[in-house]
Amino acid sequence: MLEAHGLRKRFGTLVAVDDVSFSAAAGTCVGLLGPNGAGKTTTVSMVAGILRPDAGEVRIDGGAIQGDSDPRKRRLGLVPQEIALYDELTAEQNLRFFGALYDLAPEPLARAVGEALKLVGLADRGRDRVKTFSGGMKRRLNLAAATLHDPDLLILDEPTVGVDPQSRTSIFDNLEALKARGKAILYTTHYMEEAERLCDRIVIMDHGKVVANDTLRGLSARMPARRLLRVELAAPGDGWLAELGSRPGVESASLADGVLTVGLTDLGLSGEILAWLAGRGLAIEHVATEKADLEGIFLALTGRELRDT
Amino acid sequence: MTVLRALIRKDINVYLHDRRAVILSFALPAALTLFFGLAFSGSKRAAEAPKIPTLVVDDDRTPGSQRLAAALAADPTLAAKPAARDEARDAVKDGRFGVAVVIPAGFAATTAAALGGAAARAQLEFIYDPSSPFSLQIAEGVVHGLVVRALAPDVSKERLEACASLAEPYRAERRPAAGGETYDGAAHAVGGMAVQFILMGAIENAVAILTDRQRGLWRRLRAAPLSRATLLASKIISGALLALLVLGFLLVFGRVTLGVRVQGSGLGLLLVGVSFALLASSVGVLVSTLGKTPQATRSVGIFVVLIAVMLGGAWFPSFLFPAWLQPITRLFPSRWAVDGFDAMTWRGLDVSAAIFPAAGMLGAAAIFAALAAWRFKWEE
Repeated sequence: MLEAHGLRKRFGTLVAVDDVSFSAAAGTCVGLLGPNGAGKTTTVSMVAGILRPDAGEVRIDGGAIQGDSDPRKRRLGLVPQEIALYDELTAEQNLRFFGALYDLAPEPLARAVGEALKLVGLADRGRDRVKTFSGGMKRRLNLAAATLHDPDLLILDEPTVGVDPQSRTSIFDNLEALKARGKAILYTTHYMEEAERLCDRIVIMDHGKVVANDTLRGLSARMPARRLLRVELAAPGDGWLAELGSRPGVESASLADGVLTVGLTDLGLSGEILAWLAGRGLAIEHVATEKADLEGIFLALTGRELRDT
Repeated sequence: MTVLRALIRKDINVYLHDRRAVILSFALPAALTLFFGLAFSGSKRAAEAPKIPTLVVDDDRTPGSQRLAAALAADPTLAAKPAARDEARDAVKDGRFGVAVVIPAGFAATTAAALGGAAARAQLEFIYDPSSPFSLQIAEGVVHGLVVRALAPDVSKERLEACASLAEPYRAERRPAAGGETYDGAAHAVGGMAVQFILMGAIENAVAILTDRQRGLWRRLRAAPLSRATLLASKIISGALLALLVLGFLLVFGRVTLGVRVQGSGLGLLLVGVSFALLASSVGVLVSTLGKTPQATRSVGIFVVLIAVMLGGAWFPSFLFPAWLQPITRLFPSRWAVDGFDAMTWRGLDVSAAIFPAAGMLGAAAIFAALAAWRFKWEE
């Protein structure tokens, strides 16, 4: 359905996206995951035809988008990061407007507006002005506006920013329903739990580059450590991390904000590691163990916390 | 004391870094002061006192009438030029000249005879612009003084002394160039305010375009199969339709509350209205391509609109402007619009009088739209 090859975009001296490639098949969700500034929005802008790549190309079912009014754009639906709605208009008026941009005839448009409102649970608020909506309701309507023309590929750019848990769950339900209807979904987020819940495949981006592109299972399998030991140190000091990393059973060791994260082949080695740290005179304040998750995968791949900016 | 000083310093710093506040507080009042000061400082600028633009039509073509025409041309109060009757009527009709003096055939002989004691009176015709009644009064006064002097060689000295008290050796016929008998300030106000508030609306349209971009609405539009030409055209057309709505409302409001009537061509009014609506709308879209933020665009836009409407004669009829300012104001499309509305309302002119201002405005609209298309940044 969607193929992005070697996308590159530069703004002045900043290379925002560098050689990014991925694909999304019908009925699947691909997550673009990365911290703020990783290049996710620039990437989806190129996929949606908003930005022209300096290099590379985007293909929709084998054909590249050519120009602003290319009919292939009808196969895409974009949910922008911002709440892109007219506050002064009612929900129905907004949807009618955005649907009309795709040349929907009056009757199919009226039907699509009703279905979209129903999909996002706003059927009873269609005639209310958007300015009277809560943030969560606006986010849901923002999603509905992208589904009116029944696109094959839905592109969502951080669609749950600032959303209450109830609306977030509702949006997830909507997306799962759309996926079940065979829609391909490209979903950018910096929330791990969203990617873990929704995405069949995850593209991890950092500093404009793809650092991993795999299924969640594949990413976990590629992790050097499947078991993590986290140790909060009072005064970490320096000069010992490399030595710790070379110990038997230790697959990775990193230190950030006084928290030591050690990847172990076996969590049974935890006591040995703690004793080693104590022997170095390092005061231990708190200890926790956990299984590797996407957050850990990102940390292992980039050496940075996901929410770093 | 330190806290107080710090607070005051902070307030002043914040203020001085707010470009909009600085423009509104200093640049705008300075510009308005300069405009009003220059436009209405006639008492201190006696050397530049406005002359009455006058045309002299000599249908008599006798030595007496030629002396009268020459005396009118030499008079320091008038800026008099010779013209044919039709040419003079058209020039006064469209407001380029305030008055035309028509010396009919036989005028010199009949008037000289009247000065010699005959009862018959020749008729001197004054074609005047109803928007400029003071031009008529001044021209009449000047002509009255010059007629006797110009025809004196044709009359004996004794008769001249005898008829010194003769008030009127000729009859003056005052004829408005076209339409209403007098200037209608209410009709002018309707046209003037339409021009002002349609231009203000265009600035708001520009602000809305920038706000939409800021709110991310353009990302959604960009993702749709929509060309920049379609978007620009839609903005210009919607702006023009809203402008026509405002114009229609003001015309109806003026009719109901002030009794303003369209005395000229309805088609001409429509032509001027549509042309100005397209012009204003194009200006709005162009401003949106030049502005960076909605706030800054609004303050700069209002400043430009105020200057344009003042110089266009929307607040005060342009005949009140000093002579040196008149040619400058004719360069402003807002003046063409005000003149066009005046022509179709109280001046009562036909559709031909709408063609020039409408063509000018459509040309300007095309230029502004082309500039907007060139400057328009569709990509993020």
